[in-house]
Formats: sequence, C-alpha cells, structure tokens
Amino acid sequence: MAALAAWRNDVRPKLFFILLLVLETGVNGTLCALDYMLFSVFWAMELVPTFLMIAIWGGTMRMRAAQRYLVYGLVSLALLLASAFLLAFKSGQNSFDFDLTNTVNLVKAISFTGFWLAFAAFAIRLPVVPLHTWMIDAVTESSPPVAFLVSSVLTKLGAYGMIRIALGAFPTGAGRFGFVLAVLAIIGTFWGFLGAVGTSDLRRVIAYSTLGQMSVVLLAVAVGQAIALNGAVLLMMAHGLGTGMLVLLSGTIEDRARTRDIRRLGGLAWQAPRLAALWIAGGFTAIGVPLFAGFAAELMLFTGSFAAHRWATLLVMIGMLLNTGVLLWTLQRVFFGPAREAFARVRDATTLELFYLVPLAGVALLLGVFPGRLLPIINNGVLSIVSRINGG
Amino acid sequence: MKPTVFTALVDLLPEAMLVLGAVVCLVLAAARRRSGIRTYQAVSGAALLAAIGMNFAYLRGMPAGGANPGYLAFGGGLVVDRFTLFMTATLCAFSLLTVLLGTLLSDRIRTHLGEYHAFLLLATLGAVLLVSTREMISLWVAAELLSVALVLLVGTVKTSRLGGEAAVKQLVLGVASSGVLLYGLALLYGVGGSTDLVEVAHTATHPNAALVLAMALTLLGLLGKVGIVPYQRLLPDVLQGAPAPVAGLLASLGVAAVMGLFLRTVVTAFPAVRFNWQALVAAAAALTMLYGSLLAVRQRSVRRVVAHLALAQLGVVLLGVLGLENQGVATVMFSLFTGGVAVIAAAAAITLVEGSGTSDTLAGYEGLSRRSPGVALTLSLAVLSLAGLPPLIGFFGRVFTVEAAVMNGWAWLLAVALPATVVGAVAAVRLVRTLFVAAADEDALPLDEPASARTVLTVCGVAVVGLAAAVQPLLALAGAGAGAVVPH
Repeated sequence: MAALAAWRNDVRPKLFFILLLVLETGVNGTLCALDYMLFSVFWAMELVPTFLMIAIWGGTMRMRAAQRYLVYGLVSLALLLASAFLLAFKSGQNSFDFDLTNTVNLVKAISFTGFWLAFAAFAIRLPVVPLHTWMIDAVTESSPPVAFLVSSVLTKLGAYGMIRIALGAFPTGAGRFGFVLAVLAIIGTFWGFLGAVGTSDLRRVIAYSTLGQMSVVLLAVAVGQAIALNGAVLLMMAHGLGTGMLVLLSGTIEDRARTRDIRRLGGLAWQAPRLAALWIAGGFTAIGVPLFAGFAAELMLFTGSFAAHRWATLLVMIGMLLNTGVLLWTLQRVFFGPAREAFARVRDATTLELFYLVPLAGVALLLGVFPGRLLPIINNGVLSIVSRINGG
Repeated sequence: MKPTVFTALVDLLPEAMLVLGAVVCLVLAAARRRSGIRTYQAVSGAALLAAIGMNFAYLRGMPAGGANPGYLAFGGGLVVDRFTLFMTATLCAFSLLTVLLGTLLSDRIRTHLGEYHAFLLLATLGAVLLVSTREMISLWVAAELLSVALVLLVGTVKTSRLGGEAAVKQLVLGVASSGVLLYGLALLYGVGGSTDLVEVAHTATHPNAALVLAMALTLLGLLGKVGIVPYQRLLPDVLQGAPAPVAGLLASLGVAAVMGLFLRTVVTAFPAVRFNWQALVAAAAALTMLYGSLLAVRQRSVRRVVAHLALAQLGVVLLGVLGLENQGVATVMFSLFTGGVAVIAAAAAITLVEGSGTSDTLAGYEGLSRRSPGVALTLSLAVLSLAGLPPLIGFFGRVFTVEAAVMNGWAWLLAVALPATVVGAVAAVRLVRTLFVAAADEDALPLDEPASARTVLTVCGVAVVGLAAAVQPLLALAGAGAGAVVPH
C-alpha cells in the first residue's frame, strides 16, 4: 500500500523501496516469531530503515522526528530484552521460547517487574501517554507513505506485543495492574482529544486521533477479557484502514493545496468530491460509525470492558466521543464551507489514488457489515491468552 | 606416544608457514628486485592459507569431545587443542583480509612493501603463538612479538605524522602494560613455583595477598594490551593514526589474540582467587562498555567512532569471561570473531574512502551512499553490527555473552549493558545517517574501488548479515574449542 502511495516519489526511489522491504520483513517476522530472541530481532529490524525513511523523505522537522523515533525505539528494545532475560532466567527454563516460558507460573515480584518492563517496551510503541511524542512527530513530519506505515503498522505492533507478551507472559502482573492501565487509557483518550483540538495542522490532528484510538486498545488490555480483546484486534484493523486512509489523503491534500494548515483549507468538497467521499469513508471507519469496521470493534470492546471497569469504560467512551467530534469538525473545516478561490484548480483524486484508496474503504465496509466472518479467527488466538490470565 | 623432536616440529607447522612467508618477503625485498605488491600479497596469502590448511588437518585428528584436551609440546609452551585451532584459523583469516586491503596502501609504502608484509606475517605469528600457549615465558615472547610487529606496522607510512604519533603512543602504552604484566608474571612464578600456568594453579590453591596481587597485575597487563579501561585511550588514538588496514588488523587480530590468551589465563591459572578476578573483570567490563559507547556519540572522526564502538564491544566480550561455566568461553570466541569481521569491514570502507582523499570526519563522509552505495552499506552494516543491533551477527554475540554472564549471577551488569548498547546504537545510527541522509558535495566523485578491496568489503558485509543465519553452527564450533579450555 505504501509502495503505491509512494508511486510519485521522485527522490531516491531505489533506496526507498529497499528500506520498505526490510521494514516489511521485520514486521512480518515480529508477527510470526514464537521466541523472544527472534521477536526482538525482528522487532528491532525496522528501527534503522524507519529512521532513515523519516529522515530522508520527511518535512522540515524530520531530523528531530527521526531521532526521537530512534531513541524511543532503542529504549523500547532494551526494555524488551530486559524482560525477556528476566523471563528466561527466572522461570527456571533458560529458554526464550514463547510456549515454554509462557506456561510457567512466576514468583509474584518477578512477574510484576517483568510485566512493567514489557509493558513499558510496548507502551512506547502503542503509544501510551507520557511516551507518545515520537509518534506525533513521526506522523506529522514524515512523508505520507511513511506516516501511514508509522500510524497504521508500527503502532499495531505495539498492541500486538502488548497482548501477546505483556498479557500472555505475565498474566498475574496484568491482572493486578489492570486499573492503572485503565487510568492510562482514560488519560490517553483525553490527551488525544486535547491535542487534536489544540492544533491546526491536519496531520497532527490525525496523529492525536491515533493516540486516542490506541488508548482504547489499551483499555481492552487493561481488562484482559475475551470480548474486549477481540474488539481491540478488530479495532486495530479498522484503525489501520481508517486512519491509514486519512494519513494518505492528508498527504494528497497537502500536495494539491500546498498547505496542511486547517485554517487555510476549506470548501475542498466542491473541487474534489472524490477526495471528500474517501475522507468521509476513512473518518467514519476511524470513529466507528455503524456499518463501518470501527463500529463493530468499539461495540465489542466497550461491552467487554464495561463489566470490569465501569467508570473507566464510561470515561473512555466520553473521550472517544470527543475525539469523534474533533474528526467531524476537521472534516467540516477542510471539505465544507464556501469554496475558495485559491483551490479552484485543485485536481480530484487520480486513478492511481483511487486504485489504492477505494479497496481500503471497501474492506473497511466489509469488515463493518460482516465482522462475524473474521471474528472466529481472532477469537482463536485471543482465547488462549485469556485462558492463561484466568487460570493464573 | 612419547613426543620426539620430530613430532614437536610437526606441531609447529602452521607457525612455520608464517615464518617462511615472512622470510620470503624479506628476501624478495632484499634482492632489490622491484617486485609489485601483488607478489608480496601472493606470498603472504599463500602462507596464511597454508597455515589455515594445516589447522584443518590437525582438526581432523582431533574429534570434538566434551573436553578434548588436545596435546602439549615444548613443556606447555605450545598447546594444540580445539581452542587453539579455532583461534588460529580466525586470526589467519583476519590477517588474510588485511593483506588484501594492502593494495590501497601500496603507493604510500612502495619502498618497503616487503617489510610491511613480513611484519604482517610476524604479527600473525605472535598472535597465533599467543593463543596457543599456557606457559609464561613463551607467553611473554609471543606478546612482545605481536606488540613490536604491530607498532612497526602502525608507523609503516613514514610520511604520515599521525601514523608516527600513533606508533609512539602505542609503544609507550604497550611498554607500560608489558611492565605491569611482567611484574604480575614474576610474582605468579614466585607464588606458584613454575612457569606453567596449570602447575601454578595446582600449587597456588590458597588465596593470599601475593596471589591476588599477581593475578591483578597479570590481568591488568593483558587488558592494557588491548586498551580496556585503565588504558582506554589506546585504541581510539592508535586507530585514528594508523593506516586504515593496519588499524583494522590491530582491532581484530591484535585484540582477538590477547583476549584469547586472557581467556586461557584467567580460566587456567586463578581458580583459587575466582571471586577476586571476577570482580576485577566485571568492573573493567562495565567501565569499558560505558566509556566506549558514551564517547562514541561525541566523536567527529569516523575512525574514532568505530574505535569507541569496538572498545565498547570489548567490554561486552569481557562479560562472556564472567559466564565461563555457561558457554561463556564459547561466546567470547564467537564475539571476538564477529567483532573482528565487523572491524575489518569498517577498516576496508575507511581505506577506500580515504584513498580518494576524503577527510576522516563525519562531514567528509556525508552523502557517501550516493558516491558509493556498496561502501556506504558495508560501513553501515559494520558499525551497526559492532553496536549490537539486530539482526546482524554483532547482536547475537552480544546477547550470548550477556546471557552467559547473567546466568552466572552477574545480573547487575545487564543494567549497564543495556543502556550502554542503546547509547552505542545511537552513535552508530548517527554515522549511518551521515552516510545516507546528508547530501553529497556536487563535485564529489564515486570512489575508486580496486577488486581486492571490493572482495574484502563483500566478504565481510555478507558475513555480518549472512552469518546471522548460521549462528548455531558457529557457536557449536566455538563451543568445541571452549571445551578444551574450561576445567571440568
């Protein structure tokens, strides 16, 4: 997808695609790994390529964004390795294998320490509030395809790791500190809202909405319960599709209008109806309008989490509503209102853009109408982790 | 079978090959025939390959048991076991790569090509003898042979002021650490009553002040030869001034040989004062890791970045020594190999870049990826591997050594190793950024890449990435060697 979005990238195309493929290898490897060492290897494999991709093809502040990304990423890696070492040696197995180490019941103190180490490692990537600045910068300052990768793919890795390792390997710790995570989730949604309101940079709005959405995933992790986790996985897919579209579209708009300052945009729907339609589809997926994937996901997530953390769920829901409001407001400010003279010659979506954006919208719609087709697959994986949490 | 003079000489065959090569080089030089560098390279290469070949011949006669002791010659002065064979092959391979890099240096040392190659082979000889001895006197002789040959090589470009300065620095520090080492060995002889380290271990079974002092002096002397913390200025200074291929040789062959000897010495000679030497090694390791990685971030010279990263990597290698019961020795051998390959790759890249007249600053290397993508890529892989970033081999070396130390109860070192690795990685990526992100000068030309240098680059680059897929076999090979050293 990013490859198609980068079709018109004229600057050093060869290097771009080499880095992209290395990054993809890392991502796929992380998802396949069943061993902590292998997981870490793949986890770190995308660090340098992503660093270079942000640093070479980004906006004016790209170097700072890239450096932040790198430092946060390295610290995350170090924490991950520390928790892996702890797990391997204190479980008495001397092995980094997921299956062996996961089934061992750890001493309480070890389990708690390990949980916090692993949690911090993935919290950087998710991101969770005090550690989110790299993501905002990276999404804002890098070129649209790279921002798409960061917001849609890399944050998902954080969520994956959090469910797979922080929950899967340290269930007692996760059960004990669920409340803290729920509080972090609440802070995250509101922070996302405030950040999005406070900026007039289109890309920043999207970055903060990513933060809000990922905090909802964190709520599911806090609950550690099957329906909520199913919802979380589905939400990640919906978010990947929805926000991914928004990021790519924001790139298109920036390209056409030569600005991404929301105050100077407006009335684009008259000149570019197709872009507006796509934006609406993406936005609806992201905010969870019924029939789009986000709705089914959020419904499941909140139903699942309500029983465990009533107040937290309510507060997060309020936060999400506010986030929704901001995205709708942005939509209104960018696309509607009086048509502007300056944008009279703005081109609508090209065939190439339609070619990669329409399928995204289609899949988002399909997942929203028939989530049942996908859920058994997700559920299978989730149940094995949940049973471990409950079984202690 | 009782060893005769003849069998003892057979044991020396690899070493004999190196001496022969060195003599031929010197004779060729003395014959005043203007032999080109290719002749010398052929002679040295043949000698090194022959030595490696002899090694494999020995290996065939030495099945990998859990603890295959190998056999002794010259009263312990020469030990032929799987440890020796692994290290010898590694050292000769490092040397071979350096010989190939010499092409780029040939213009600057045209008048003494023969001496250059002779000293290169003699340094290798010293290194090989160093890893195959457990006896104080031959140890001393080998260490001095290595040091002297390396000093001469560092100063080999007579027109370079930096080279001369580096050679003097190395000489002074080398003599200082030799002095310390000599004190240590003398005391140790007094305590143990023998020059054979195994005999010493049998005699000196009670920890007392004299033994502790002997141990401390011996170990500090050895660590000083490679520039571990009390001598931390050695590597950066010398690597900055030496001709780039020699710098690579020093940081791969020189370091690997001394660390190999260090391994054998601590493991063999000091079981009685275990806790003392482990504390010493742990402190040195922690300080070296921190010093190397913290200073690597602040360097403006590419060579010094590489040197500091190599130093930090040495600190990590020391961790493996602490985990000697748990595969630690094998991980040290593995890391010495991986670190050496990375350093030579970096040296090859630096040789090429400087060969085109580029200055040794980060600014000079800006945009190298446009001028020579291959060189930039190899240099990046090399420093990233040295810094221990996955998925390169350096990462595995690092993880294994740390793992071994942690399993032996040195968990607090993890709290030093992880932050140090993060900082080192930042330094490495900073260099990578310079190579790839910054724009090159308009008038900067592509580098001139001779075939031999390109071979070294390719071999090392592929090794840094590809050997990650062969980690287990390599580690098993090292493990078989380690079995010969670790007491059971």
